[in-house]
Amino acid sequence: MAVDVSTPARPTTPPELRRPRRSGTPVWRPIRRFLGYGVLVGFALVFLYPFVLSAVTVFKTLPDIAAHPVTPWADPRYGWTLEGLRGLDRGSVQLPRWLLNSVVVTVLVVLGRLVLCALAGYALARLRFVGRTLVFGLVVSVMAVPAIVLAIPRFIVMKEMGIINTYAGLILPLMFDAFGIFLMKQFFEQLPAELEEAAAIDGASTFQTFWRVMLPVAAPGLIALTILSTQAVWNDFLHPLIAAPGNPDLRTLPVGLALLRGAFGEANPWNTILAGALITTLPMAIIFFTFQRYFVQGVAASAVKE
Amino acid sequence: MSRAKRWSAVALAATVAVAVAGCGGDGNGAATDVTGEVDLQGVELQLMGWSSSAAEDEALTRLLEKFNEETGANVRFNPVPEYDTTLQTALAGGTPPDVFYVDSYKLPDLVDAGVLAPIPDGVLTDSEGIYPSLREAFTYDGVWYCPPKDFSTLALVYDPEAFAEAGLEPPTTWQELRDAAEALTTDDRAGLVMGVEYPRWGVFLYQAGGGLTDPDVTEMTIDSPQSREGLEFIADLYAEGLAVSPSEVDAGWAGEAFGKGRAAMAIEGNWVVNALAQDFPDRKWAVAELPAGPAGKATFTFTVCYGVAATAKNPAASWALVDYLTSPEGALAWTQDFAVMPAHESVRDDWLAKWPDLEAFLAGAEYAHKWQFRPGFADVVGVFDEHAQAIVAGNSTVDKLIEATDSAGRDILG
Amino acid sequence: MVTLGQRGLARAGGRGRRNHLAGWLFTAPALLGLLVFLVLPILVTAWVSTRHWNGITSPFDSQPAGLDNYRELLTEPGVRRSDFAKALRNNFYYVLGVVPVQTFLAFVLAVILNQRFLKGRGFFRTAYYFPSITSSIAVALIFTFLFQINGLINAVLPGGRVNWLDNPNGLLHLLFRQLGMEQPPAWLAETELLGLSLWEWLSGPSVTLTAIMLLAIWTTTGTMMLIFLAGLQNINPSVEEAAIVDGATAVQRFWRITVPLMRPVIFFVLTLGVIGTWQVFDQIFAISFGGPQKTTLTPAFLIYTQLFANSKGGIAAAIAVILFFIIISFTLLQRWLTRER
Repeated sequence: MAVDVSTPARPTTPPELRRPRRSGTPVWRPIRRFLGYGVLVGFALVFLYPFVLSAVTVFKTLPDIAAHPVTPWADPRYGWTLEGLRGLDRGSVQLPRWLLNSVVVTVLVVLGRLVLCALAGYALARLRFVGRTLVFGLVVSVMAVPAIVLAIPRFIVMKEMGIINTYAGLILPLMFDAFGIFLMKQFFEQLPAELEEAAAIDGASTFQTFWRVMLPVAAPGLIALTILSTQAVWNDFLHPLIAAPGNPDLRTLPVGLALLRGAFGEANPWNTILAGALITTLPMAIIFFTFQRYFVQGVAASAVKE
Repeated sequence: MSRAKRWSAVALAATVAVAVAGCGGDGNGAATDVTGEVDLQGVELQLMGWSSSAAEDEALTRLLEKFNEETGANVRFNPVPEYDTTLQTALAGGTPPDVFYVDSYKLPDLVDAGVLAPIPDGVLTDSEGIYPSLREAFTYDGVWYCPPKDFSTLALVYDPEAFAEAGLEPPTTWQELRDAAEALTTDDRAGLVMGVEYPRWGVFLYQAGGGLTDPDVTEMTIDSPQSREGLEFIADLYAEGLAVSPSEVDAGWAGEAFGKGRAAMAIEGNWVVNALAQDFPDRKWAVAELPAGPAGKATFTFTVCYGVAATAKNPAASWALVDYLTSPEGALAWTQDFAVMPAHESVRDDWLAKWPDLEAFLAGAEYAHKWQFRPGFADVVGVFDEHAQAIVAGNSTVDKLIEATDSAGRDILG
Repeated sequence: MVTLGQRGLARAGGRGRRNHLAGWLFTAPALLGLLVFLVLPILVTAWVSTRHWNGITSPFDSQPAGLDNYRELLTEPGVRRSDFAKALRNNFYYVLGVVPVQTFLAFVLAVILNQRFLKGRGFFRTAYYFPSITSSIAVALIFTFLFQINGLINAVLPGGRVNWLDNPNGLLHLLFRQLGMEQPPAWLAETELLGLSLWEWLSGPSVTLTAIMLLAIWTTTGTMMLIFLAGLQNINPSVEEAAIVDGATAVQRFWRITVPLMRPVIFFVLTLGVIGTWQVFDQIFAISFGGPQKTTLTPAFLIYTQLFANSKGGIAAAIAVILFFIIISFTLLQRWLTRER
């Protein structure tokens, strides 16, 4: 049955906005466009600079870094060098292992979060059940406590469960994330209610409505959740630190790389540290770039037309 | 014969003797007498600490490998980032490492919490050789808790070329320090750069005969004429532009300021040597002892020890490991390759042979004050630092610093 | 043709079908995990705030303290209370400065980068997102370099040599000084709240804190932009097209169509902003460590130092509890201020 659910509730354009438009003279448009792009590109370069700099710094020598910390090239007097990368070859550094751990943990946690947060977010947004406001209140409240103060109590809980120094301990606690539930709830709330009405008329159960109708339409929210969760878990330092303090084989990338920093913070091998940082940043950049192209307006909404 | 081998041999001999005698011993043997009855074969121990640099990690790993080879034990070095957080979580959660680093600053907190075992008698084979000031740093309420693994002190790092140009000798008194700073201050170089915090300013208070508290940290002594004298000396240096804070010369810390040539003198510890070699290899430097104040010489020592957990599952083995690591040979092996100093007087000359330029740091062991207070006292040091920063910024006075720190200290010390 | 809006349907009782079973089934797994790994530790923390806990041994071995920790933080004169007051004051200005700016900036960026005619959208979106994922070390390196006394920022600023990184002067105080008020009137200097004079409360963020705020805005705008981008996908383009045909300008379309349809997402970003900024810790730890003169001290940083450098776990827990109530209040306030009228 064709229900046109693509139009929102209100009439097409508020009356106050209806009036003939003065279009700009043709001469201005390309100039404005050029300036607009110019500004965008300019800001983009500024925003990209720290990353470019960190990439370049990996190949600078330490005295050069101390003398010229922000130039995007190696001073000819010092030259380019591979010692930054070689610094990653320390005895205590186990890069492949850390990478593997980070990948395993991130993938499993993000998958878990997608499932749990989508289900819970949908229920909080669209199902009326007793205690709904309470649960939502709980979800938001739980975000209001700094993680650092929860470190030791959470460690004790995990110890009672017997999951310290195990993969389960790295993965399980991170799957339950209030932020993700909150995000999915808001995104589900944004969707028009007519979608469910249509499904109800077609006789779909709650779960079928959720699975067949709402979830696909909530794709932008799911993508956002994927990107943000991947970023959060990939870069998470505190939880892996306290969940597996006794087993170096379970270290994730951020924890392992933190070892590269000097104890007093004074004699830091910046080129090595940034080499590690680059390994951490690149996957995230790739993930973002890959997923963001699904943010093409209207694809999600107009795909609903049956 | 190496220490570890000696341990194993004694252990073996004792076990054999007991077996041969036919009786099983009184069952309590291992618990009451920790020395000499421990078999280290296959014992697993975890040493938790932090990672200072690649070179240090490798040196420690080599030492541990040797220990493992000779005793058949399996000791693992577990360097962790965010040491305080990780250690405290492990302790509070009931999974303490067997042996772990203890900074002298943290010793009182750990002892008060009851998580450190005091050194049992006879476990350490050469404790007389340890510098008294270091032993003192790890003695709390009269009990010695752990032997130091190494130490650093503060000294005066200076630019020998600048000094030669100005025809100066390294200062040995406050007046000479002031004169040198004055002579060396130019438009683009400060005379002296020093961090604005008690771990630096404190030496001047001690040199004047005062201090933040008495040695036992039971009462405040900041409000004394001696402390005041020290504070006023420093404050005047900053006020007259003879001394600067690192941020005033666009540096993150004094070592960086000195390395960049923004100051002719800096007050820093041994670690500055590594930083200078790594980041500013062209910079010429020399070290002199800190100048003496009206009450003589004084400096701080920053030191770390190997502590054994009170609930360690194999205390005998843990102490055997600690003894091995802190013996004179162990101490020298550990400190040979970088500029921290061995805690044993007996290997002083061996170390100096490798690091002749750093004698001034080593001399500080004779008159160093420990960097240590009581649990909860960090807030008082924070007040001192806050007002010190204010004095340098020009919006507070020595009187206000003394008053605020004194009242905060009385509150906390009760 | 359906003509009722979301709200209409809800009031008609049709939208949320009363579906208690499904509701609980859907939320149960997530809820269970939240209870075990978050609510339980939070409850333990709340309990610990009434104990003298050293942070080193098990919290269950601690002695009871009643309300002593809260007294030290709120009523007893002393350094703990004044430190806490300073932390609250600093964080308050931080929240006020960062949340509106980062939300607005992110929203505008998202709208611009969502235009279908824009070439290289993918490139721009990734570029603007980069500060959010670049190592904070690289970012801090650049930050300290730019804000040095001889750095770029001072070079382009008219009037000069501002010390950004070590400057405890509050912005409001500087403003008052410009307006001629050198010394505070007696009633401001003498009345005290939590150990700080009202004049000190009115200092505004210090120059260093302001620099850190700029850094924070720069690094988190990308993340918020991403969330807004996702939200914009749910808006049907035909609505905007119809408005263009009818003659609405870009600005009008922005305020009359886009913003209202993005309401849930805006609420989300604002709430996230409030919750996040009230817990600012990483930048303080990496750059200023609470200084200069405690003008970048924040409650989250205090929690860390009290717990891991001062053996005062009970105080840290109490700070966390008080912070919790502050955050909830601000969230509710923000919700009320942006409610539909």
